[in-house]
Amino acid sequence: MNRLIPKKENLKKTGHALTGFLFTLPALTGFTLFVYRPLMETIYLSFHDWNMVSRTKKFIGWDNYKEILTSDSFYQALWNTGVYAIWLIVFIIFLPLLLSYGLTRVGKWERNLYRITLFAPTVVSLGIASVLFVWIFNPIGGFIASVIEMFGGIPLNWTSSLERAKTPIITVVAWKSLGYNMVLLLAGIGAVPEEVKQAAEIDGAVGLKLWRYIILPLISPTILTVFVLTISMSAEYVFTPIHVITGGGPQGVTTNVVFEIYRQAFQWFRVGLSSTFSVIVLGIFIALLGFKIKLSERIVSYEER
Amino acid sequence: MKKALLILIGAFVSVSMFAAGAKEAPPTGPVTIEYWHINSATFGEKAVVNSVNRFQELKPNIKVVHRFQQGSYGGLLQNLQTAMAAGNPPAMAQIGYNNLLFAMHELPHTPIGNFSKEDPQYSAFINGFIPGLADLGKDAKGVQHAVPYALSVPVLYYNADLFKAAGLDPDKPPVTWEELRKAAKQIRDRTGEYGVGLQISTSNNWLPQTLIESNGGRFLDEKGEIGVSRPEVVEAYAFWQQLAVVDKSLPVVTDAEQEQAFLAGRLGMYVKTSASMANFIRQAKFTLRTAVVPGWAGKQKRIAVGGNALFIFGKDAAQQRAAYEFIKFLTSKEGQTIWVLDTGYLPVAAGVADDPNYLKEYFDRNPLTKAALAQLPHSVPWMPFPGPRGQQAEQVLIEAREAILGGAPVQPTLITATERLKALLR
Repeated sequence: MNRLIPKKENLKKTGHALTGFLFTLPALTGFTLFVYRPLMETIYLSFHDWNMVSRTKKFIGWDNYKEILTSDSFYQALWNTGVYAIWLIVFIIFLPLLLSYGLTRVGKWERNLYRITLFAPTVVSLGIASVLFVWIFNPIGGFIASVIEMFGGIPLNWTSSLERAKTPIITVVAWKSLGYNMVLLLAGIGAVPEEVKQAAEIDGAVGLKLWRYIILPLISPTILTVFVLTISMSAEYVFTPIHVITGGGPQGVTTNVVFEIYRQAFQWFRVGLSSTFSVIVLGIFIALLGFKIKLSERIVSYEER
Repeated sequence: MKKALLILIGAFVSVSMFAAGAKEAPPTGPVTIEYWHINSATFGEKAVVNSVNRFQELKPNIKVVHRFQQGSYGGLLQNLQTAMAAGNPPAMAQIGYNNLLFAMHELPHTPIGNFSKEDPQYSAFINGFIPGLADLGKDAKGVQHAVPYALSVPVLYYNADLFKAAGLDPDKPPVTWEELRKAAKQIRDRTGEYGVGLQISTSNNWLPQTLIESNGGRFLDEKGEIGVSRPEVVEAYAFWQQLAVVDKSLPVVTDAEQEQAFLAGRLGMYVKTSASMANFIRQAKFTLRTAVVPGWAGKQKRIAVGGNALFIFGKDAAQQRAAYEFIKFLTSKEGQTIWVLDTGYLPVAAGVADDPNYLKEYFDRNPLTKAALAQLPHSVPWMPFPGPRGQQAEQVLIEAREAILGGAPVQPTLITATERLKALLR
């Protein structure tokens, strides 16, 4: 009986919930239309065989999943994505951290000059940057080859070499993202309160010690943000240079998960298989996200206010 | 208020009446058709605009709206499929020869051959093509699905300055692949620059088809059996590998890199589509010469043509008929003259190249293009792998080529490729 007749207090709560719901409705509508609905459709398509134009979508159960999980190209794409992630962590997290450390130690004028110079590539489109780097890495008369030849060396082959083909692609993404991440990190460093630093210095934490024990822990939320951005870049951002520079070759050494998804759907017209690929990758990213949340609880210190 | 409502209703009724009227209009009535093409501002857009304007003068009843599609034939095909899924396809579009079979079998369209009864001039239209060329738009059963429009063939471009520097005679370009190998090695040894590049792609095997078929091999034979590991194919790929690995006269690089190298004067010869002619003439800072693509000694050449064919995708009869009329114009002597002048493609209409009223002057003025024209008698359809897994099958061959040029043993690589192809094409 009690449960059927809502108490006044509960009624008030329901009312609040309704108001809250109304407030989130605009955002929720967008999410439902443009994120959840396509997501559901992708999951639906992952159990079908469809070429994008045919009227019929043939239901094939788990066949797509079986095909992907037993194909070499899936593991190759996954492995490559991981390799991209690791190199990008080096080039667009560690390197910007070092640079921003350096920038805090030079004068204001120099700092701004470096900041502008390093940030400039961010505004160049990724497609144009990729075309530019085709020329830079061209083993016949390209920029790097010419420099090597000038010193009497034999130019290296990049884009068609099994061992080095990833280099130009990582370089394009790193070149374009380094400045952006550096500005993010610099902002984080700038937000570390002066009094904390001064107090630490009085206690004897100077130079690297100050960085190790004060600044790095305090900017760890920024580092985590940059880290998550980098991981998603290794899947998404890398797509454009792959498409422009190598087309995934030679022998698939430069492909990654997003490029494979694109290729299955839009070059080979296997929309079902491509959807399956997306669903599996989504699963992997959800797992990574869980890991990230765990990690941020453990090692990232959020300042209590 | 009431008046406004009445006007609104009136407007609605007249609009719906108009719509109903349009549906039953005879094919000659005023009709608007959409034409999708891949000709960007630097790749023949002017030719499209001129064609449309001239057609407008001839047939004021048919309004043609031309729409450029980003991303070449692949991009056009993607957008086309999206438009079809939304139930709103253009009346007609260019389809690259590499997607020809896919379009014939997978995309809903109106075969050109359907007009054979309706149009008394149909046979004159088909006979207006250079003999054999109209067959490029036919399927195995002989149904005329589409007609060829843009035509390109591989051409041997060469740097006459590098030829001289290497002690070769620029007036005697190599005629066979064996001669080409010697010339390439001589350029490599005497000048230090690379000798030759063959056009490659990350999505198709267009030039390899010419190399292999001229040697008597087939990727897929007449019976539909995979011929990739047969001796003629192995021999052709082994030849390619020797250029790269033994002679080191062929750089193992991407096609964009080869092109940059050639234009920078650091690659002696480059076998590439005739469609690059206009661009090469504009950009080369050396003495650029052209010759017909080499053949194998004592064997019949088979040259795979590239370019596109025109398909009708319009949904109602009036649109289909109007598109058919526009296609007839585009492939006529006049339509082809406009097209060839502004693109550098080869004409598909018979006799237009020798006709003083049309293209004779152009071909006399541009001796370089004659090399391309001379190969038309050897032309065969560009035959990508058929079926829903065809595009994926192309990728298998691309990866086999990459492995071979990287030094992998030829025959085992092609045997492995054959096994992978069997799984995809069964």
